[in-house]
Amino acid sequence: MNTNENSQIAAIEILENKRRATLLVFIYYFSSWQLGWIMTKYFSTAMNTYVYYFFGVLLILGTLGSLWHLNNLFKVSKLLKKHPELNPMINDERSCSLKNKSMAYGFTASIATSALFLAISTVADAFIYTETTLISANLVAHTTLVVTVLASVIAYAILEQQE
Amino acid sequence: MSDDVGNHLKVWRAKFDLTQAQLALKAGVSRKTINTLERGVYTPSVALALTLAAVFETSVEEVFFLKKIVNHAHVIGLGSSSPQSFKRGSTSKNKRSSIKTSRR
Repeated sequence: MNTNENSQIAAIEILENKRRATLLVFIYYFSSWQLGWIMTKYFSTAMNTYVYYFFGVLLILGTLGSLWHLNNLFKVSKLLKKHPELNPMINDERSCSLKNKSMAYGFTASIATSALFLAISTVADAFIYTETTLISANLVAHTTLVVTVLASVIAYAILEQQE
Repeated sequence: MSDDVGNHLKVWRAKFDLTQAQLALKAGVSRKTINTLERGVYTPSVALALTLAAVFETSVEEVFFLKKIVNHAHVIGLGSSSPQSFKRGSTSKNKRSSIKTSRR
């Protein structure tokens, strides 16, 4: 085995590990950021001050972490640009198949979330309709979007771990 | 799908004295893909199966095989042969000898 092969193998291993780590960090910070955002924006009146502060801190940490994560993403893409010949190996057919599968999970999660909101609003309209029980369209869209993104990314991480 | 297709990748890799990472590099995939193939978790595309066979300088049937063959031709009435003749290891040589016997 020559030195070039050795360095290529090492570079692939590093890139694969970095991609996995980046994915896990993204899940953590993105969920913190979005959970903090949704809770402080839509449920602020319904919660205790300390709980509100907790979600506020979660929102700040999540936002900062997401920015830091963006920086990491740039680093990984820089590393990939350095070794363009490794790109097809990192994004090979198994990786594409996992992406497709995780997209399917995301789609299912999106439908399930929409169905859940529809059921809640139907029940609320039928039995406890008041001005305050109306569900904000913004909340529905935001939550569905977050659930879809997180379901896809988490599914990818789990599927890759299982294999 | 992965239950249906088996492979002798590990044997061929040993024959050529290659590590999983080296084989992955030659086939243009990641090491994890080779690992999942060997464990039977992932079934490759035709293109990858052909590439791997080409790396080992052999035919794809020598590396990959069907674990159980359903004789669709027999079911829809296209083939005259019984399911037995489609089993792995049954060659055209066997068929020829059976034809000869029936002629006698």
